[in-house]
Amino acid sequence: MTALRVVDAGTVSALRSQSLWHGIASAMGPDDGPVLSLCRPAQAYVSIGYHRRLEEIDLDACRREGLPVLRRRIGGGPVLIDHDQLFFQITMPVRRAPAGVDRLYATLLEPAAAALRSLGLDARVDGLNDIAVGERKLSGTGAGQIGEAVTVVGNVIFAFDHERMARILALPDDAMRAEVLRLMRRHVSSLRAEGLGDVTAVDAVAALRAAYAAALGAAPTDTPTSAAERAAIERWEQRLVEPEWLRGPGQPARPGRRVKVRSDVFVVRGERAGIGVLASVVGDTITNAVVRSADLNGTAGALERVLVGSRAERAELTRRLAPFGDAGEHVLHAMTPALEERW
Amino acid sequence: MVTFDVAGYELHGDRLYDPETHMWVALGDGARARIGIDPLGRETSGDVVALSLRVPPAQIERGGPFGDLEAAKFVGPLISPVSGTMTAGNPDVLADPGLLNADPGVHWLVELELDPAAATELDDLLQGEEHVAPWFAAEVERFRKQGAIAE
Repeated sequence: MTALRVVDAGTVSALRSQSLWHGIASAMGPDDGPVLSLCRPAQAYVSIGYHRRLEEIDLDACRREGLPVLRRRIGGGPVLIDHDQLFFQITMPVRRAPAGVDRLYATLLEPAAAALRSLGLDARVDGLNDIAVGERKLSGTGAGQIGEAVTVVGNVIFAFDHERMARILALPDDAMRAEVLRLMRRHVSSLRAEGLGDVTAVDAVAALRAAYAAALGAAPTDTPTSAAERAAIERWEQRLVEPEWLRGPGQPARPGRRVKVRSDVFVVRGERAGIGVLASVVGDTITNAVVRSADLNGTAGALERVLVGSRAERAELTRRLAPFGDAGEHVLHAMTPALEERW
Repeated sequence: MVTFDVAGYELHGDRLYDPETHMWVALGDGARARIGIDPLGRETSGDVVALSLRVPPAQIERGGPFGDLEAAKFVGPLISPVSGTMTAGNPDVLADPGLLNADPGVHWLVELELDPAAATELDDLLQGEEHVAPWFAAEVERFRKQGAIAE
């Protein structure tokens, strides 16, 4: 039987909660077995995905709140991380990892969903890479190849501070912030919110350890990090705080603003010719819309009614907005750049 | 431009395909070459949302990364099938990485001035329908069996 190395780092610094698994992946060789690593950050911080623009984060707000910002070498958007979350990472050599991103997530996130089920939740892998109960996301995830290893990362959220998360995002106005907060409250949950406030980190670690061992057909073995892993962790701790690393690889600015709350739930904001549009999308449908313009009176309300219930795609929006002439066209062009982003 | 179909995927007769990395090489004038990702490499990566490339000029080794691709919150390195000096990244795909989803066979990623060593490296790549089609068909079958792509 293969061994599943378990590295439970316990409560660590914000920096170590990132460098731990970056280092384990960097040090992994092609013939090594899988590693399940776990940790909780002692202090809150903001983590941003590898390709995302720092401009998505309100850095002044982070400074005011004493939140460091760390860029990770995997994908996804900006997230607030704190001591009310347990991080888990399953890392294995590239050639042993499931081929294809769909299968990678399906295979390596299902044990995390099973662990949550064993704790009493009706959790499932939802869409490509969310873990959810009903319509509520319960775990943030991401993945990447670091060196010769693939790592899939997730968290168990004991409690979540939606307001603080909304505060650290750079958003064009308070209306968008309020809408993002409303949708986060509805679609991002936690063990406490699901009635499992008595589940401890020890319980969650045990559940994850058992679920990943069962899924991989491997015997779990607690091991400390190796000397090579510790050296790689140290290197990542230096790299993660370099200003150049924090700035990221540089991505072009795109018009409009889009905030993803969970898979298939997002808020978009755009402007065109003095018309501002704020819209929320759930599934493929616009569920809420606000149109603002100094030049529009009753038409703004009519445009909002046309938008709500429309599929969030260009062809249907074009058809529905056509009767409004220039105003409809401006609304369409205000919305579509953010609607068509793929983040 | 000569193209051929293998299991529903469009491949190009003038490209050299790397069986190791699922990247293609298009040879240009002199030692110039452009590198892109083949349709299976793109499909197994998922829906591309972001791309970053090394800043030219940059020395690229065969088997080494020349950039990173992000799809479905997965970030993975783009591995070069040949060695050379990267002279340019494709501004079109940098501005709109979604172009790769639509047609990965057309949109190149980086341009290289090949090293002399690349002459032997090119021998490991496959060109022409008679060489590419059997390998690519086997890869499609392998990925389908693994569930990495749809039946």
